[in-house]
Amino acid sequence: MTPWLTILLTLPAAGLLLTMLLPAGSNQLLKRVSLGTTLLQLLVGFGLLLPAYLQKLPDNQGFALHEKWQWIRLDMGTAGFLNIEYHLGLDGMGILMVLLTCMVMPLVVLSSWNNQHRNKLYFVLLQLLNLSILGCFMSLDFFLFYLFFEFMLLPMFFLIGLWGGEKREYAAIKFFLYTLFGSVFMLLVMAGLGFSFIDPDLTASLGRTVHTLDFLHMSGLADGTYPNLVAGSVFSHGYSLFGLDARALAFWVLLIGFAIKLPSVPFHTWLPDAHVQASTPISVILAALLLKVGGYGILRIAFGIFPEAALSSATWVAGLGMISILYGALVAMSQRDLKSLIAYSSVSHMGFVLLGLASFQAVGISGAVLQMFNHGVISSALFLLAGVLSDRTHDRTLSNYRGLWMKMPVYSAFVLVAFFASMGLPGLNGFVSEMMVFMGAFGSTEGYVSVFAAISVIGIVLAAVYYLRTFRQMFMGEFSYLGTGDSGSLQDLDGREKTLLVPLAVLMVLLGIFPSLATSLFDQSLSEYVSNLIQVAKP
Amino acid sequence: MSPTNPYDVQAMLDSIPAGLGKLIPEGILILTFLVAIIFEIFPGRRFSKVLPFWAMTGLVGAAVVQFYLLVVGFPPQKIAMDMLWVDRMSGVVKLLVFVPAFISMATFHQSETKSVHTSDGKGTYFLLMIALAIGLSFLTMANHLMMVFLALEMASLPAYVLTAYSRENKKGTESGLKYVIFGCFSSGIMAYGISWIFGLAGSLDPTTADFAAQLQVHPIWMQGVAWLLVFVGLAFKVGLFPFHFWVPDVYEGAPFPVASFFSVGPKVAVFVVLLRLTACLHLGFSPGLESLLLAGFSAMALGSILLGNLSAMFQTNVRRMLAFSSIAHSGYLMVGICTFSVQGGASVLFYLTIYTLMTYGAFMASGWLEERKHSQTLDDLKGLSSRAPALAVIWIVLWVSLSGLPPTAGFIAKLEIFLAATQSYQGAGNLVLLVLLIAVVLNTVLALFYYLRPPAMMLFGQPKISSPIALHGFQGFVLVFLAVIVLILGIFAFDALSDFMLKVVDEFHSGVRF
Repeated sequence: MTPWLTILLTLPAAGLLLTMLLPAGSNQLLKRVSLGTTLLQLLVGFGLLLPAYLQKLPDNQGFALHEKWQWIRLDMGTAGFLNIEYHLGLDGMGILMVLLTCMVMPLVVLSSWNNQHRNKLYFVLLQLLNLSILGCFMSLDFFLFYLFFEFMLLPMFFLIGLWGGEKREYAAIKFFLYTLFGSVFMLLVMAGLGFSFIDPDLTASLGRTVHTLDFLHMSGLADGTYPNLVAGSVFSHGYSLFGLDARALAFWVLLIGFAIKLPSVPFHTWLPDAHVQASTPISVILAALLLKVGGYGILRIAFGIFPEAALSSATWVAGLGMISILYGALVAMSQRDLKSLIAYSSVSHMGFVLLGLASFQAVGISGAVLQMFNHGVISSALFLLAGVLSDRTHDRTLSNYRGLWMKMPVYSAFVLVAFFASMGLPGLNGFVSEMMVFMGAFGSTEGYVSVFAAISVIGIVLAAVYYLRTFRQMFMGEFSYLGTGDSGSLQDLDGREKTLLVPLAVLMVLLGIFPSLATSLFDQSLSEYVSNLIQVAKP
Repeated sequence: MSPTNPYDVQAMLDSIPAGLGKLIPEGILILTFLVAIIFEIFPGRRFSKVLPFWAMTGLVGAAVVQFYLLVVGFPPQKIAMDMLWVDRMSGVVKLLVFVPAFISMATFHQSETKSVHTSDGKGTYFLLMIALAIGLSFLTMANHLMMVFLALEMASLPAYVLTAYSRENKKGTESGLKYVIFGCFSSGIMAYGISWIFGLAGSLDPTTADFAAQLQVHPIWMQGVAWLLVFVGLAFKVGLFPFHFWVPDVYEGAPFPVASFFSVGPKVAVFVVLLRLTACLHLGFSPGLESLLLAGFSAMALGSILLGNLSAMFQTNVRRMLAFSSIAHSGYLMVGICTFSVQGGASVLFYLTIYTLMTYGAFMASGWLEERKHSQTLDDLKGLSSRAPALAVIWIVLWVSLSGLPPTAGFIAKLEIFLAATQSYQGAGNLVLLVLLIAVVLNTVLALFYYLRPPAMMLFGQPKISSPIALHGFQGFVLVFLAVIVLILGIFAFDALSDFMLKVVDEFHSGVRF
């Protein structure tokens, strides 16, 4: 059996080593090496990993391509062992996210082509980030996941802080502290989980209790029981902390940790700062990949380990989603900077992910996962498009532009497609996933989820308002430029920019017309996963 | 090896030589010290040149023998009329004392700081370091409270002198004086506490059942006051809140090889004493006293963590920042002590090992820069990554580890303490531990404010001068080694280290049972 996932993980590592070996001054070479390794990653992802995934039947709880190696066995004295494994595997959601990462990374490298200073450090950090994002989507052991999850922060911190706008250091530290705040509490949950679940096979073979952090051992059965849960442990049923149910508390800790990353209102305030200050490629990674780790984490970890707590909190989760959708859209309407408009629209669109997850319906959760993928594609395009403008005039103020269509028709056409996709116009990919989210949420019988869904529909209207208004203001009418930048520099897209945008636009249309291209990848495994969650939560 | 009849003097005397075999490392150090004194007496140039090498050889010899004893292994044993307790726990910690002491000596010897060299009697430094190592070494083995006191004083006196070692440095003299005054005061308090305990229990060996039984007769508040006084003395020595105020001054004022050793060696040794005493108290005393101590300890832990991190945020001097960070780390270590369990003890020992690696490394890295820039301020780190890329990478690794982020050993060390505290909480349901855990976790975020500053300065800022600073020689090697170890232990093999610590602490605990 070929270890495809490890092979995919070694590609960024190889790129990293290669970049480190190159001399610091060789700018072109550094860029080419990074582009080469990320393209190879794309090739391996789609050409080898995907066929291997499709051929191999999932063998354990819907996961395929398992790689499992003994890594660490901590002796905990009277409590037995804590066993940590290098355990990778993919289910439908995992492969979708891994493919998204493979797809976005070459675009990020290509859009960094004009990066001026300290290229070596830049590409080293980029590859580190690439590695840790891929690792996050593949890990099936909480410890391994946590390592990758935390390790994402440092390269991102430096990438925002070194290559960003004027207030980049402030934005970088804000990003770091917000995310860290969420993840340190997650560490406490992990410490508790370390005493709560056992690995039945190892316990039998070693003759001592072997605790595990493997996600697969933490799942419950259809009758609502957890076969590997240690009775009397912190996360066993009925255990309370500070007078609260320990499992519900842990669920909320995890949810908030990932909601900060997602980000959901009210934990979102780091995002606009980070986006506005970060350079274009970094914004693309942030929006397209880093936010997805949040959604992924909620479904895989918060919902996966504590399904009954998730089900009973569904109304609240949906409420958070609704507030994110509406608040994000309302704030986006009043933005004057194109990038912060897109950032707030991201907040709004990630709200749909929460709403879909809270529906506890197969279609809704599938919609949420598809929304993550679609948002990855659309937001990449949007941030690249905003980058085109700031490359030319260093000015992203909406009101400074009029009639850009006259000057830059190709650019404007791409903007139109991306705007339409983002606001959910039928025929483009955003529509499909939002539709699925609403179908799921309306069908939900939990609490007020369907009510919140109905209110959230306003968000779509608001999105149309701010996108159309922006489009009319910036692109229609006679051309004029009111800012201080050089209006002569407003040339239409060059070859490199077209290369970046064409694949994204094609994907938007293609997935809008044939959503099954993406959904067929995860439909079956996800609906099994969800039906298992529901059965565990409602035995 | 304890004599059957406590008043049988002959048996007592006979028991002393029997244990001497376990004290070879100390024997080597004492011999080194005595011969070194003779070197110092002769005024010839030749002797003063030989002395550093003699002292370093002695220390290396002691470390090698100690390492051998540790690897061979032996049953834990009380020797010298139950004054000392030789076990692997003391072995581990002695290595944590000897190795940094050796590196500090070698650094000092190579040190380019002229101000230190011009002061006459360079050899005194080596003598004092050896004396300090002997004191700390006995401290790690001390079983009897009298021995604890003696060893602590034996270590403190050289420490006072070392702090004020360079005469031209006003700050050094000032901090030396502060250190002496506060140090003597705390020693006095501790001696007073010990006398209370002797009055209450009629003995000073806390591992005997008799001691526990005698002490239990007295009211809880009396026992509490007695132990409080003892722990105040110890808390002073490790710089725990509210007895921390000397720490930043001493770390800032002392010559940097001294300061870097102070930040690890003495602290590590005193924490072992804390581990031993709390284990004895836990195993042999009333639950009332234990909860009293838990309250005190957790207050110290919380205070140290909060104060350390909050104060470190406002520092502009790298050494002061490290000093406050070390206060916070003492607080994290106290959380491990608060668990009163074998697992907790092991996590403390593990943390001490990692703490030594990263703090010592961080001090050395800043010392390397100080020597070349004659400045300890944070501002001077600006743009270091372009002037000294290798040093900057090492620095970033060590500081990230200090902050406790993966994939570094600092993260694993913190995780071990979390696991021990969770296990303890799950067993006893003591809410204090949970509160402490949450406090530690919140402080990790707080601490990031300042732990990120030096790395951020290095990468974000523009250097004033662009001449490169290279890493080379012995110090360069040590720094690279420390950074690599910190990274490796963050990902691999830490389970082996932690299992070893667990065995060591378990061995000790099973020896204490009454």
